[in-house]
Amino acid sequence: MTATDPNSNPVTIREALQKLDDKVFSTRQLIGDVLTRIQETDEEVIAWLDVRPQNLMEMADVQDRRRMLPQAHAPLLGIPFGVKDLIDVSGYQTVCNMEAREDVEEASRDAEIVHHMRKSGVIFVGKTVTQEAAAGIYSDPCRNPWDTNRIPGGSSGGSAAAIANGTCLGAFGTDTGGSIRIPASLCGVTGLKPTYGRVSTEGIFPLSPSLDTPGPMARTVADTMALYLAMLGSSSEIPEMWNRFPVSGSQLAGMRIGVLTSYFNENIQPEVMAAQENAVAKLRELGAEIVECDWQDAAKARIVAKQISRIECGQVHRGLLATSPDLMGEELRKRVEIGAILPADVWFAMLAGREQVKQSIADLYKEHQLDAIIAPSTPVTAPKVEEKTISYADGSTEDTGAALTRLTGPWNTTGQPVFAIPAGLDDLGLPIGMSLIGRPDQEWELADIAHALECALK
Amino acid sequence: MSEVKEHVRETAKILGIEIEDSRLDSLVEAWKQAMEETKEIRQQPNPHPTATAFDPTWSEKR
Repeated sequence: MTATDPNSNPVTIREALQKLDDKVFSTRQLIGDVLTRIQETDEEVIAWLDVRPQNLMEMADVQDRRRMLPQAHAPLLGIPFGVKDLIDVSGYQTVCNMEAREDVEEASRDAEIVHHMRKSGVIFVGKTVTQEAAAGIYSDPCRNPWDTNRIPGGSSGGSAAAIANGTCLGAFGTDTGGSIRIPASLCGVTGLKPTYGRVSTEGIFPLSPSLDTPGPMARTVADTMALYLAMLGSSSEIPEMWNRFPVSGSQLAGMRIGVLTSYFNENIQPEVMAAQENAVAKLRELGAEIVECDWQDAAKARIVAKQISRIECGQVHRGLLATSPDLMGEELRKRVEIGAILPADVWFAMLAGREQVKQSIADLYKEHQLDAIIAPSTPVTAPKVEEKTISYADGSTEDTGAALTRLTGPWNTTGQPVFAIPAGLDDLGLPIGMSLIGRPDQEWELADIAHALECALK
Repeated sequence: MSEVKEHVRETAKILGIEIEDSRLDSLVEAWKQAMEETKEIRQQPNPHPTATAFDPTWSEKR
Protein backbone atom coordinates (compact mmCIF):
# COMPACT_ATOMS: atom_id res chain seq x y z
CA MET A 1 0.00 0.00 0.00
CA THR A 2 1.44 3.37 -0.99
CA ALA A 3 0.66 6.63 0.74
CA THR A 4 -1.95 7.37 -1.92
CA ASP A 5 -3.40 3.86 -2.30
CA PRO A 6 -7.03 4.43 -3.35
CA ASN A 7 -8.04 1.12 -1.79
CA SER A 8 -6.84 2.02 1.69
CA ASN A 9 -10.03 3.79 2.75
CA PRO A 10 -12.93 2.33 0.74
CA VAL A 11 -15.80 3.34 3.06
CA THR A 12 -18.93 4.59 1.31
CA ILE A 13 -21.41 7.25 2.42
CA ARG A 14 -23.97 4.57 3.18
CA GLU A 15 -21.50 2.63 5.36
CA ALA A 16 -20.22 5.76 7.07
CA LEU A 17 -23.76 6.85 8.00
CA GLN A 18 -24.45 3.42 9.45
CA LYS A 19 -21.23 3.49 11.45
CA LEU A 20 -21.94 7.00 12.72
CA ASP A 21 -25.43 5.91 13.81
CA ASP A 22 -24.03 2.75 15.44
CA LYS A 23 -21.33 4.86 17.17
CA VAL A 24 -18.55 2.77 15.59
CA PHE A 25 -16.87 6.15 15.09
CA SER A 26 -17.81 9.78 15.70
CA THR A 27 -17.91 12.63 13.21
CA ARG A 28 -14.87 14.02 15.05
CA GLN A 29 -12.98 10.79 14.31
CA LEU A 30 -14.15 10.67 10.68
CA ILE A 31 -13.20 14.27 9.95
CA GLY A 32 -9.99 13.87 11.96
CA ASP A 33 -9.04 10.88 9.76
CA VAL A 34 -9.82 12.88 6.63
CA LEU A 35 -7.60 15.75 7.78
CA THR A 36 -4.77 13.38 8.68
CA ARG A 37 -4.99 11.76 5.28
CA ILE A 38 -5.00 15.13 3.53
CA GLN A 39 -1.94 16.12 5.54
CA GLU A 40 -0.16 12.85 4.69
CA THR A 41 -1.00 12.58 1.00
CA ASP A 42 -2.28 15.79 -0.49
CA GLU A 43 1.16 17.24 -1.02
CA GLU A 44 1.45 14.56 -3.69
CA VAL A 45 -2.13 14.35 -4.98
CA ILE A 46 -2.97 18.09 -4.68
CA ALA A 47 -6.73 17.62 -4.86
CA TRP A 48 -7.62 20.25 -2.24
CA LEU A 49 -7.62 24.02 -1.88
CA ASP A 50 -8.44 26.07 1.19
CA VAL A 51 -8.96 23.34 3.81
CA ARG A 52 -9.59 24.89 7.26
CA PRO A 53 -8.85 22.20 9.88
CA GLN A 54 -9.94 24.09 12.97
CA ASN A 55 -13.32 25.03 11.49
CA LEU A 56 -13.83 21.46 10.33
CA MET A 57 -13.17 19.98 13.76
CA GLU A 58 -15.51 22.51 15.38
CA MET A 59 -18.15 21.59 12.81
CA ALA A 60 -17.60 17.88 13.48
CA ASP A 61 -18.21 18.44 17.21
CA VAL A 62 -21.43 20.32 16.45
CA GLN A 63 -22.57 17.44 14.22
CA ASP A 64 -21.77 14.90 16.92
CA ARG A 65 -23.90 16.85 19.39
CA ARG A 66 -26.74 17.05 16.83
CA ARG A 67 -26.59 13.30 16.31
CA MET A 68 -27.18 12.76 20.04
CA LEU A 69 -30.41 14.79 20.04
CA PRO A 70 -33.61 12.71 20.20
CA GLN A 71 -35.17 14.23 17.04
CA ALA A 72 -34.30 13.05 13.51
CA HIS A 73 -31.11 14.58 12.15
CA ALA A 74 -30.15 15.64 8.62
CA PRO A 75 -29.73 12.55 6.40
CA LEU A 76 -26.07 13.11 5.43
CA LEU A 77 -24.97 14.50 8.79
CA GLY A 78 -21.19 14.50 9.14
CA ILE A 79 -20.31 13.25 5.65
CA PRO A 80 -17.08 14.88 4.36
CA PHE A 81 -17.77 16.53 1.03
CA GLY A 82 -15.78 18.45 -1.61
CA VAL A 83 -16.85 21.29 -3.90
CA LYS A 84 -15.17 21.89 -7.26
CA ASP A 85 -13.57 25.31 -7.24
CA LEU A 86 -15.91 26.57 -9.92
CA ILE A 87 -18.87 26.58 -7.56
CA ASP A 88 -19.54 29.31 -4.99
CA VAL A 89 -19.36 28.43 -1.31
CA SER A 90 -20.07 31.34 1.01
CA GLY A 91 -16.87 32.59 2.65
CA TYR A 92 -14.55 30.89 0.12
CA GLN A 93 -12.97 32.28 -3.04
CA THR A 94 -14.01 30.78 -6.38
CA VAL A 95 -10.69 31.00 -8.20
CA CYS A 96 -11.41 28.48 -10.99
CA ASN A 97 -7.64 27.88 -11.19
CA MET A 98 -7.37 31.24 -13.02
CA GLU A 99 -4.51 33.62 -12.36
CA ALA A 100 -6.85 36.52 -13.11
CA ARG A 101 -9.08 35.48 -10.20
CA GLU A 102 -6.38 34.87 -7.59
CA ASP A 103 -7.47 37.91 -5.60
CA VAL A 104 -11.19 37.53 -6.21
CA GLU A 105 -13.38 38.24 -3.18
CA GLU A 106 -14.82 35.38 -1.19
CA ALA A 107 -18.30 34.40 -2.34
CA SER A 108 -20.97 36.16 -0.31
CA ARG A 109 -23.49 33.36 -0.79
CA ASP A 110 -23.69 29.70 -1.66
CA ALA A 111 -24.44 28.44 -5.16
CA GLU A 112 -27.95 27.00 -5.21
CA ILE A 113 -26.72 23.38 -5.18
CA VAL A 114 -24.38 24.14 -2.25
CA HIS A 115 -27.26 25.78 -0.39
CA HIS A 116 -29.31 22.60 -0.82
CA MET A 117 -26.38 20.35 0.04
CA ARG A 118 -25.69 22.25 3.26
CA LYS A 119 -29.18 21.35 4.48
CA SER A 120 -28.38 17.64 4.04
CA GLY A 121 -25.80 17.87 6.85
CA VAL A 122 -22.57 17.29 4.89
CA ILE A 123 -19.34 18.88 6.07
CA PHE A 124 -17.55 20.91 3.38
CA VAL A 125 -13.91 19.88 3.61
CA GLY A 126 -12.79 22.53 1.12
CA LYS A 127 -12.66 23.37 -2.56
CA THR A 128 -11.27 20.85 -5.05
CA VAL A 129 -8.81 21.61 -7.84
CA THR A 130 -10.14 22.15 -11.36
CA GLN A 131 -8.59 22.79 -14.76
CA GLU A 132 -8.16 26.51 -15.48
CA ALA A 133 -11.72 27.83 -16.04
CA ALA A 134 -12.81 24.16 -16.32
CA ALA A 135 -11.60 24.23 -19.92
CA GLY A 136 -9.62 21.02 -20.28
CA ILE A 137 -8.82 17.58 -18.95
CA TYR A 138 -5.53 17.87 -17.04
CA SER A 139 -6.62 19.59 -13.77
CA ASP A 140 -3.02 20.57 -13.15
CA PRO A 141 -1.48 20.52 -10.51
CA CYS A 142 -3.74 17.70 -9.24
CA ARG A 143 -2.49 14.14 -9.80
CA ASN A 144 -4.14 10.72 -10.02
CA PRO A 145 -4.02 8.87 -6.66
CA TRP A 146 -3.67 5.53 -8.51
CA ASP A 147 -0.35 6.73 -9.95
CA THR A 148 0.75 10.26 -9.21
CA ASN A 149 2.72 10.39 -12.46
CA ARG A 150 -0.63 10.41 -14.23
CA ILE A 151 -3.44 12.93 -14.65
CA PRO A 152 -6.72 12.61 -12.76
CA GLY A 153 -8.65 13.83 -15.82
CA GLY A 154 -10.71 16.96 -15.84
CA SER A 155 -11.98 19.34 -15.37
CA SER A 156 -13.41 17.96 -12.10
CA GLY A 157 -10.07 16.22 -11.44
CA GLY A 158 -9.68 17.37 -7.84
CA SER A 159 -13.14 16.05 -6.91
CA ALA A 160 -12.46 12.60 -8.41
CA ALA A 161 -8.93 12.41 -6.96
CA ALA A 162 -10.14 13.41 -3.49
CA ILE A 163 -12.82 10.69 -3.48
CA ALA A 164 -10.44 8.06 -4.87
CA ASN A 165 -7.85 9.03 -2.29
CA GLY A 166 -10.30 8.69 0.61
CA THR A 167 -10.15 12.35 1.60
CA CYS A 168 -13.90 12.83 1.15
CA LEU A 169 -16.87 10.58 0.45
CA GLY A 170 -18.53 12.68 -2.21
CA ALA A 171 -18.02 15.85 -4.22
CA PHE A 172 -19.54 18.14 -6.80
CA GLY A 173 -18.28 18.22 -10.36
CA THR A 174 -19.50 20.00 -13.46
CA ASP A 175 -19.66 18.50 -16.94
CA THR A 176 -19.56 20.43 -20.23
CA GLY A 177 -17.75 17.96 -22.49
CA GLY A 178 -17.04 15.11 -20.06
CA SER A 179 -15.68 16.88 -16.97
CA ILE A 180 -17.45 14.59 -14.49
CA ARG A 181 -17.21 11.34 -16.46
CA ILE A 182 -13.57 11.61 -17.57
CA PRO A 183 -12.08 12.07 -14.07
CA ALA A 184 -14.54 9.48 -12.70
CA SER A 185 -13.23 7.03 -15.28
CA LEU A 186 -9.54 7.82 -14.75
CA CYS A 187 -9.76 7.79 -10.94
CA GLY A 188 -12.09 4.79 -10.54
CA VAL A 189 -15.04 6.60 -8.97
CA THR A 190 -18.69 7.10 -9.87
CA GLY A 191 -20.21 10.21 -11.41
CA LEU A 192 -23.57 11.33 -12.70
CA LYS A 193 -24.01 13.89 -15.44
CA PRO A 194 -27.71 14.66 -15.05
CA THR A 195 -29.95 15.67 -17.93
CA TYR A 196 -28.95 19.14 -19.17
CA GLY A 197 -31.03 21.80 -17.41
CA ARG A 198 -32.13 19.49 -14.59
CA VAL A 199 -29.80 21.00 -11.97
CA SER A 200 -29.34 24.70 -11.22
CA THR A 201 -26.12 26.37 -12.39
CA GLU A 202 -26.78 29.48 -10.30
CA GLY A 203 -23.56 30.47 -8.51
CA ILE A 204 -21.36 28.36 -10.79
CA PHE A 205 -18.72 30.02 -12.99
CA PRO A 206 -19.73 29.32 -16.60
CA LEU A 207 -17.69 27.54 -19.24
CA SER A 208 -20.38 27.01 -21.86
CA PRO A 209 -23.81 27.86 -20.45
CA SER A 210 -25.82 25.85 -22.96
CA LEU A 211 -23.89 22.69 -22.03
CA ASP A 212 -22.75 23.18 -18.39
CA THR A 213 -24.22 20.53 -16.11
CA PRO A 214 -23.36 20.14 -12.41
CA GLY A 215 -23.50 16.66 -10.93
CA PRO A 216 -22.49 14.48 -7.99
CA MET A 217 -19.48 12.19 -7.69
CA ALA A 218 -18.94 9.43 -5.11
CA ARG A 219 -17.81 5.81 -4.70
CA THR A 220 -21.05 4.03 -5.56
CA VAL A 221 -24.20 4.57 -7.58
CA ALA A 222 -26.37 4.65 -4.42
CA ASP A 223 -24.09 7.25 -2.78
CA THR A 224 -24.15 9.32 -5.96
CA MET A 225 -27.95 9.30 -6.04
CA ALA A 226 -28.12 10.32 -2.37
CA LEU A 227 -26.00 13.35 -3.26
CA TYR A 228 -28.15 13.96 -6.33
CA LEU A 229 -31.26 14.11 -4.15
CA ALA A 230 -29.48 16.45 -1.76
CA MET A 231 -28.31 18.83 -4.49
CA LEU A 232 -31.87 19.07 -5.78
CA GLY A 233 -33.10 20.04 -2.31
CA SER A 234 -34.79 16.69 -1.67
CA SER A 235 -32.48 15.27 0.99
CA SER A 236 -35.45 14.25 3.16
CA GLU A 237 -36.01 11.43 0.66
CA ILE A 238 -32.54 9.93 1.21
CA PRO A 239 -33.35 7.53 4.10
CA GLU A 240 -36.07 5.88 1.96
CA MET A 241 -33.89 5.97 -1.13
CA TRP A 242 -31.32 3.49 0.19
CA ASN A 243 -33.96 0.73 -0.12
CA ARG A 244 -34.05 1.27 -3.87
CA PHE A 245 -30.46 0.06 -4.14
CA PRO A 246 -30.12 -3.31 -2.38
CA VAL A 247 -26.52 -4.08 -1.47
CA SER A 248 -26.96 -7.54 -3.00
CA GLY A 249 -27.79 -6.02 -6.41
CA SER A 250 -30.84 -6.44 -8.64
CA GLN A 251 -31.96 -7.98 -11.93
CA LEU A 252 -32.54 -6.23 -15.26
CA ALA A 253 -35.08 -8.51 -16.91
CA GLY A 254 -37.01 -6.72 -19.64
CA MET A 255 -34.41 -4.00 -20.08
CA ARG A 256 -32.89 -3.33 -23.49
CA ILE A 257 -29.35 -1.98 -23.52
CA GLY A 258 -27.70 -0.72 -26.69
CA VAL A 259 -24.07 -1.32 -27.56
CA LEU A 260 -22.84 1.14 -30.13
CA THR A 261 -20.62 0.09 -33.01
CA SER A 262 -18.28 2.04 -35.39
CA TYR A 263 -17.51 5.47 -33.80
CA PHE A 264 -17.57 3.99 -30.28
CA ASN A 265 -15.29 1.10 -31.23
CA GLU A 266 -12.53 3.02 -32.98
CA ASN A 267 -9.15 3.46 -31.29
CA ILE A 268 -10.06 1.98 -27.93
CA GLN A 269 -7.36 0.58 -25.63
CA PRO A 270 -7.74 -3.25 -25.77
CA GLU A 271 -8.28 -3.60 -22.00
CA VAL A 272 -11.04 -0.98 -22.16
CA MET A 273 -12.73 -2.88 -24.97
CA ALA A 274 -12.40 -6.11 -22.96
CA ALA A 275 -13.95 -4.35 -19.94
CA GLN A 276 -16.89 -3.31 -22.09
CA GLU A 277 -17.35 -6.91 -23.30
CA ASN A 278 -17.24 -8.09 -19.70
CA ALA A 279 -19.82 -5.47 -18.65
CA VAL A 280 -22.08 -6.47 -21.53
CA ALA A 281 -21.81 -10.13 -20.49
CA LYS A 282 -22.81 -9.15 -16.95
CA LEU A 283 -25.80 -7.17 -18.23
CA ARG A 284 -26.90 -10.27 -20.17
CA GLU A 285 -26.53 -12.42 -17.04
CA LEU A 286 -28.74 -9.92 -15.21
CA GLY A 287 -31.47 -10.52 -17.77
CA ALA A 288 -31.05 -7.47 -20.00
CA GLU A 289 -31.39 -7.81 -23.73
CA ILE A 290 -28.33 -6.48 -25.56
CA VAL A 291 -28.91 -4.69 -28.84
CA GLU A 292 -26.08 -3.78 -31.19
CA CYS A 293 -26.77 -0.55 -32.98
CA ASP A 294 -24.97 2.13 -34.92
CA TRP A 295 -25.51 5.84 -34.26
CA GLN A 296 -24.51 7.51 -37.50
CA ASP A 297 -24.45 11.01 -35.99
CA ALA A 298 -21.99 10.34 -33.14
CA ALA A 299 -19.09 12.17 -34.79
CA LYS A 300 -21.37 15.07 -35.69
CA ALA A 301 -22.60 15.24 -32.09
CA ARG A 302 -19.00 15.50 -30.92
CA ILE A 303 -18.23 18.35 -33.35
CA VAL A 304 -21.33 20.25 -32.27
CA ALA A 305 -20.42 20.00 -28.56
CA LYS A 306 -16.84 21.06 -29.25
CA GLN A 307 -17.77 24.12 -31.31
CA ILE A 308 -20.62 25.27 -29.05
CA SER A 309 -18.32 24.91 -26.07
CA ARG A 310 -15.46 26.93 -27.57
CA ILE A 311 -17.75 29.67 -28.96
CA GLU A 312 -19.52 30.12 -25.60
CA CYS A 313 -16.19 29.94 -23.76
CA GLY A 314 -14.94 32.63 -26.15
CA GLN A 315 -17.84 34.86 -25.15
CA VAL A 316 -17.34 34.24 -21.41
CA HIS A 317 -13.64 35.12 -21.47
CA ARG A 318 -13.09 37.49 -24.40
CA GLY A 319 -13.05 40.50 -22.10
CA LEU A 320 -10.13 38.98 -20.23
CA LEU A 321 -8.45 38.09 -23.50
CA ALA A 322 -8.74 41.71 -24.64
CA THR A 323 -7.36 43.20 -21.42
CA SER A 324 -5.03 40.63 -19.83
CA PRO A 325 -4.15 37.75 -22.15
CA ASP A 326 -0.96 37.12 -20.19
CA LEU A 327 -3.05 36.01 -17.24
CA MET A 328 -4.43 33.10 -19.25
CA GLY A 329 -2.80 29.72 -19.64
CA GLU A 330 -1.99 28.70 -23.20
CA GLU A 331 -4.74 26.07 -23.49
CA LEU A 332 -7.47 28.44 -22.29
CA ARG A 333 -6.13 31.33 -24.35
CA LYS A 334 -6.18 29.28 -27.56
CA ARG A 335 -9.71 28.10 -26.88
CA VAL A 336 -10.95 31.64 -26.20
CA GLU A 337 -9.18 33.14 -29.23
CA ILE A 338 -10.73 30.71 -31.69
CA GLY A 339 -14.09 30.72 -29.92
CA ALA A 340 -14.26 34.51 -30.04
CA ILE A 341 -13.52 34.91 -33.73
CA LEU A 342 -15.54 32.10 -35.31
CA PRO A 343 -18.26 33.57 -37.53
CA ALA A 344 -21.90 33.64 -36.49
CA ASP A 345 -22.93 31.15 -39.16
CA VAL A 346 -20.91 28.46 -37.34
CA TRP A 347 -22.83 29.22 -34.15
CA PHE A 348 -26.24 29.04 -35.80
CA ALA A 349 -25.29 25.91 -37.73
CA MET A 350 -24.22 24.24 -34.46
CA LEU A 351 -27.51 25.13 -32.79
CA ALA A 352 -29.37 23.62 -35.73
CA GLY A 353 -26.98 20.66 -35.71
CA ARG A 354 -27.74 20.08 -32.03
CA GLU A 355 -31.46 19.74 -32.76
CA GLN A 356 -30.75 17.30 -35.61
CA VAL A 357 -28.49 15.23 -33.38
CA LYS A 358 -31.06 15.14 -30.57
CA GLN A 359 -33.64 13.92 -33.05
CA SER A 360 -31.36 11.23 -34.43
CA ILE A 361 -30.52 9.80 -30.99
CA ALA A 362 -34.21 9.92 -30.03
CA ASP A 363 -34.97 7.97 -33.21
CA LEU A 364 -32.29 5.41 -32.35
CA TYR A 365 -33.72 4.83 -28.85
CA LYS A 366 -37.19 4.53 -30.34
CA GLU A 367 -36.21 2.22 -33.19
CA HIS A 368 -34.40 -0.21 -30.89
CA GLN A 369 -36.65 0.41 -27.86
CA LEU A 370 -33.62 1.14 -25.72
CA ASP A 371 -33.64 1.82 -22.00
CA ALA A 372 -29.96 2.79 -22.05
CA ILE A 373 -26.74 2.57 -24.02
CA ILE A 374 -23.43 1.33 -22.67
CA ALA A 375 -20.09 2.68 -23.90
CA PRO A 376 -16.62 3.25 -22.45
CA SER A 377 -16.32 6.57 -20.61
CA THR A 378 -12.84 7.13 -22.03
CA PRO A 379 -11.01 5.21 -24.77
CA VAL A 380 -7.88 4.90 -22.62
CA THR A 381 -6.93 4.78 -18.94
CA ALA A 382 -5.12 7.67 -17.20
CA PRO A 383 -2.36 9.14 -19.40
CA LYS A 384 0.94 10.28 -17.92
CA VAL A 385 1.19 13.99 -17.07
CA GLU A 386 3.59 14.67 -19.94
CA GLU A 387 1.61 12.55 -22.45
CA LYS A 388 0.13 15.19 -24.74
CA THR A 389 -0.78 12.69 -27.46
CA ILE A 390 -2.16 9.15 -27.23
CA SER A 391 -0.67 6.46 -29.48
CA TYR A 392 -2.87 3.60 -30.67
CA ALA A 393 -2.12 0.04 -31.74
CA ASP A 394 -2.63 0.90 -35.43
CA GLY A 395 0.15 3.52 -35.21
CA SER A 396 -2.19 6.53 -35.24
CA THR A 397 -2.02 9.28 -32.63
CA GLU A 398 -4.56 11.66 -31.12
CA ASP A 399 -4.30 14.76 -28.96
CA THR A 400 -4.89 13.66 -25.34
CA GLY A 401 -7.70 16.16 -24.76
CA ALA A 402 -9.41 15.11 -27.98
CA ALA A 403 -9.04 11.43 -27.08
CA LEU A 404 -10.48 11.78 -23.60
CA THR A 405 -13.51 13.81 -24.71
CA ARG A 406 -14.18 11.70 -27.82
CA LEU A 407 -16.72 9.39 -26.16
CA THR A 408 -18.18 11.88 -23.68
CA GLY A 409 -18.79 14.97 -25.88
CA PRO A 410 -21.63 13.52 -27.95
CA TRP A 411 -23.80 13.10 -24.83
CA ASN A 412 -23.37 16.78 -23.95
CA THR A 413 -24.88 17.67 -27.31
CA THR A 414 -27.86 15.38 -26.73
CA GLY A 415 -28.14 16.47 -23.08
CA GLN A 416 -28.97 12.93 -21.88
CA PRO A 417 -28.16 11.73 -18.34
CA VAL A 418 -25.02 9.60 -18.12
CA PHE A 419 -23.78 7.45 -15.24
CA ALA A 420 -20.04 6.77 -15.21
CA ILE A 421 -19.04 3.78 -13.10
CA PRO A 422 -15.76 1.90 -12.52
CA ALA A 423 -15.47 -1.30 -14.56
CA GLY A 424 -12.19 -2.95 -13.64
CA LEU A 425 -8.48 -2.26 -14.01
CA ASP A 426 -6.10 -2.39 -16.96
CA ASP A 427 -2.80 -4.31 -17.07
CA LEU A 428 -1.06 -1.46 -15.22
CA GLY A 429 -3.66 -1.54 -12.44
CA LEU A 430 -5.32 1.71 -13.59
CA PRO A 431 -9.11 2.14 -13.42
CA ILE A 432 -11.34 1.68 -16.48
CA GLY A 433 -14.69 3.48 -16.66
CA MET A 434 -17.97 2.59 -18.35
CA SER A 435 -20.82 4.96 -19.13
CA LEU A 436 -24.52 4.16 -19.14
CA ILE A 437 -26.48 6.68 -21.16
CA GLY A 438 -30.17 7.04 -20.34
CA ARG A 439 -33.24 8.80 -21.65
CA PRO A 440 -33.72 12.50 -20.79
CA ASP A 441 -34.98 13.08 -17.24
CA GLN A 442 -34.80 9.38 -16.37
CA GLU A 443 -31.91 9.54 -13.90
CA TRP A 444 -33.56 7.06 -11.54
CA GLU A 445 -34.23 4.40 -14.15
CA LEU A 446 -30.64 4.85 -15.30
CA ALA A 447 -29.36 4.57 -11.71
CA ASP A 448 -31.20 1.25 -11.34
CA ILE A 449 -29.30 -0.14 -14.32
CA ALA A 450 -25.99 1.36 -13.18
CA HIS A 451 -26.45 -0.06 -9.66
CA ALA A 452 -27.25 -3.55 -10.97
CA LEU A 453 -24.18 -3.51 -13.18
CA GLU A 454 -21.99 -2.06 -10.42
CA CYS A 455 -22.99 -4.92 -8.07
CA ALA A 456 -22.45 -7.52 -10.79
CA LEU A 457 -18.97 -6.18 -11.54
CA LYS A 458 -17.82 -6.36 -7.91
CA MET B 1 -1.26 38.25 -46.19
CA SER B 2 -3.85 35.62 -47.10
CA GLU B 3 -7.53 36.45 -47.14
CA VAL B 4 -8.24 34.18 -44.17
CA LYS B 5 -5.38 35.64 -42.17
CA GLU B 6 -6.62 39.13 -42.87
CA HIS B 7 -10.16 38.14 -41.88
CA VAL B 8 -8.99 36.58 -38.62
CA ARG B 9 -6.88 39.61 -37.72
CA GLU B 10 -9.66 42.05 -38.57
CA THR B 11 -12.29 40.11 -36.62
CA ALA B 12 -10.03 39.99 -33.59
CA LYS B 13 -9.39 43.73 -33.92
CA ILE B 14 -13.13 44.49 -33.99
CA LEU B 15 -13.49 42.50 -30.76
CA GLY B 16 -10.63 44.44 -29.19
CA ILE B 17 -8.35 41.40 -29.14
CA GLU B 18 -4.70 41.89 -30.00
CA ILE B 19 -3.29 38.87 -31.80
CA GLU B 20 0.50 38.84 -31.78
CA ASP B 21 2.15 37.85 -35.07
CA SER B 22 3.67 34.81 -33.40
CA ARG B 23 0.18 33.49 -32.60
CA LEU B 24 -1.58 34.42 -35.82
CA ASP B 25 -0.56 31.40 -37.91
CA SER B 26 -1.76 28.83 -35.40
CA LEU B 27 -5.00 30.74 -34.90
CA VAL B 28 -5.57 30.85 -38.66
CA GLU B 29 -4.90 27.11 -38.77
CA ALA B 30 -7.44 26.51 -35.96
CA TRP B 31 -9.96 28.70 -37.80
CA LYS B 32 -9.52 26.75 -41.04
CA GLN B 33 -9.81 23.47 -39.17
CA ALA B 34 -13.02 24.58 -37.45
CA MET B 35 -14.51 25.70 -40.76
CA GLU B 36 -13.57 22.40 -42.39
CA GLU B 37 -14.84 20.34 -39.47
CA THR B 38 -18.20 22.13 -39.47
CA LYS B 39 -18.58 22.37 -43.25
CA GLU B 40 -21.01 19.49 -43.58
CA ILE B 41 -23.20 20.70 -40.71
CA ARG B 42 -23.19 24.26 -42.03
CA GLN B 43 -24.37 23.04 -45.41
CA GLN B 44 -27.37 21.20 -44.01
CA PRO B 45 -30.76 22.89 -44.10
CA ASN B 46 -31.74 24.52 -40.85
CA PRO B 47 -34.57 22.57 -39.18
CA HIS B 48 -37.60 24.35 -37.83
CA PRO B 49 -36.22 26.54 -35.03
CA THR B 50 -38.59 25.14 -32.43
CA ALA B 51 -37.98 21.50 -33.34
CA THR B 52 -36.73 19.52 -30.39
CA ALA B 53 -36.33 15.88 -29.58
CA PHE B 54 -37.02 16.57 -25.95
CA ASP B 55 -40.78 16.38 -26.16
CA PRO B 56 -42.69 14.07 -23.81
CA THR B 57 -42.78 11.22 -26.34
CA TRP B 58 -38.95 10.98 -26.16
CA SER B 59 -39.13 9.50 -22.73
CA GLU B 60 -42.09 7.22 -23.30
CA LYS B 61 -40.98 3.64 -23.09
CA ARG B 62 -42.56 1.50 -25.80
